[in-house]
Amino acid sequence: MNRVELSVVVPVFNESGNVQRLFRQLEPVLGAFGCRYEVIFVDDGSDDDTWNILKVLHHDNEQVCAIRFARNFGQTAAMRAGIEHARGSRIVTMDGDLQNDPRDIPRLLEKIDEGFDLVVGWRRDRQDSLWLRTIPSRMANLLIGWITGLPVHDNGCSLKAYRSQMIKQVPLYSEMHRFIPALSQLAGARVTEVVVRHHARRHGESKYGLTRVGRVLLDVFAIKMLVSFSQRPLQWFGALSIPFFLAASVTLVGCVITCALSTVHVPLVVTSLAFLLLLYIAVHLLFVGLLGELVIKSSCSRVKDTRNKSPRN
Amino acid sequence: MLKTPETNPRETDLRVQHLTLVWLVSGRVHNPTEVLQRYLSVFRELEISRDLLIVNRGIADEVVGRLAEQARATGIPTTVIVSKGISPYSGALSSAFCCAAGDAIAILPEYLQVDPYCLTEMLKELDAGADYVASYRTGRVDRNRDRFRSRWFNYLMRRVSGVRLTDINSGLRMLRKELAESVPMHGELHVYLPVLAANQGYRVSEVPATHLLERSGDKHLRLYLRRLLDLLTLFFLMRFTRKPFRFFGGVGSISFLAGAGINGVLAFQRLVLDKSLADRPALVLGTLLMALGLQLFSLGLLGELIIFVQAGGLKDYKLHEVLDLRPVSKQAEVPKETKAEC
Repeated sequence: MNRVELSVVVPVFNESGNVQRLFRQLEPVLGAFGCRYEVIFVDDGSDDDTWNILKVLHHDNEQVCAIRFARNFGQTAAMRAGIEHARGSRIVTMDGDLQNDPRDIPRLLEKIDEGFDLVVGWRRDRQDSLWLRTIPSRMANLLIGWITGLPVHDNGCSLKAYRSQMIKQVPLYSEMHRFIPALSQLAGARVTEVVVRHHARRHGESKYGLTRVGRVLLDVFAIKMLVSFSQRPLQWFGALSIPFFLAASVTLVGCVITCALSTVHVPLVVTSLAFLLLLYIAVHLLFVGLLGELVIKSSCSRVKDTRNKSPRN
Repeated sequence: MLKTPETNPRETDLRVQHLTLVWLVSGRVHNPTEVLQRYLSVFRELEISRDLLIVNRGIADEVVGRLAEQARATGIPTTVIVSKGISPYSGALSSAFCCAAGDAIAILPEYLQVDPYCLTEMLKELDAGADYVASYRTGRVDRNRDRFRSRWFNYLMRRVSGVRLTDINSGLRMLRKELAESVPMHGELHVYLPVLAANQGYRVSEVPATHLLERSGDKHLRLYLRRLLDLLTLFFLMRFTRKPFRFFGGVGSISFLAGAGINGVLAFQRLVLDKSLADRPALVLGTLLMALGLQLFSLGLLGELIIFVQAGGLKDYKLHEVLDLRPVSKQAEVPKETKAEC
């Protein structure tokens, strides 16, 4: 009973109304496992009473561990801090706003025991506003699945279970928590999904808005590059440059042939500009790819570490 | 990192135990003894254990030796370190931070820029819980032109950084050693130390100080231009260090879409309205904007790659307090509050 086997990480930000209730809900579920567990609350610089409530919780319960940030650093940083601190061989992350249901945790952990490294919750019946939350999120998930090649229904669901060895290798920074399934491919993870319950918010306000859609678009493109070619940037940039090379050659050849064979007037200004632009982009991409190789080479040991370690050894 | 918390509980740690006064001398002042005399008269009134650290940045060793003697004669322990050569101000400051013995450090301007009497006020602020105390110059004695420039610059700094400081160029500052060691500086970013510190979650405050003297010719236009570029660095580093593609990709998409729009209109005019393209400079503009957009895109991806391979070493957050699990065998024991820093 001495070793912690299960860690639950809950990032909280101004959730004074929910923290106590969440822990009361978690207690019976986690207690049923019969192993030693810990609940790690990460207070992401709340300015309400959350930290004091956590202090009381920590004082009254030996399973509670609380971490407080010096200011608000965002959900990903909070998750990373919690995961780095976690001692269990299995880790569960969830929201602090009671929208996830702790009763789903056993089903997630069953999947981990079956051999999966990452189990993603899927909020099939979302209790959020349709136009502002559900539809943008569905579109974002389709896009993320399509581009990264890992079709997960609900990347944004915080309720996830991980094998500790795997998730501790995944570099979590910026707002990457939405891309954990895609990023965990880097660590060679086996990923699956489980349908989970989802409740409407009872206390406090939702902390997300519609503005994130544009950012997700940019992020997903960057993630695609990182996931597929962080080891061989030249190939990726090279592949990007091929269409430009092809288009440039077609323009040039087409122009020359038309000039030579027919008497039709060829708009030389336009074609030469198009040719130069395409060639310029292609060459530029190739050289950026080379620079990327240089970046990787200068720190290749670290990337190799993340990729080559088997998640379960 | 996380699991070995330092044992310095915040509540008892707030009061400063020992103050190190750092004075960087580079020989640009003709009356260092008088300046030191004035400083020493204030040091004596500080009701705290203190020592003086003189950093020699290119002045004759004998002169510094005499200055140290002068300070020791008043009963203040004095150390001299040498940071000569090409080492920039930030470098000299960093080595001073390393050598400083106190848990708080005061940085003194080389010349008497402001009345050092406000050191007592600054110390009170630190005791009250601030991690960094800046001074702002009141009753300014410099030229109107400089004052105007300075005001604009500070306004811009506040807008960019979101840190409410009246006067970032005032040389007299006081900070905790812990902060000095954990905020990395390079180039001339030492000016923005309070901004970088506030960004990491440290508490920054300021006190007024009477302005005594401004070194003439110091606040060149060139200096402000350099500072403006630094401000851009700061803006980028504060917001996009971990997501460069959002910045490059965002600007790149705007540029690409604008270029595509211009070229679209031109193509429409050519194909439908049959207007010749040969003498339309807008075509070059549109093409260039598209090229620029794609270029920024690829550079952003490169930035993303750089951050990704360095991600393990990047400090993403600063912990304020950790309430850790109690060991099972000692359940009766009262939990120990510890503070850790990642």
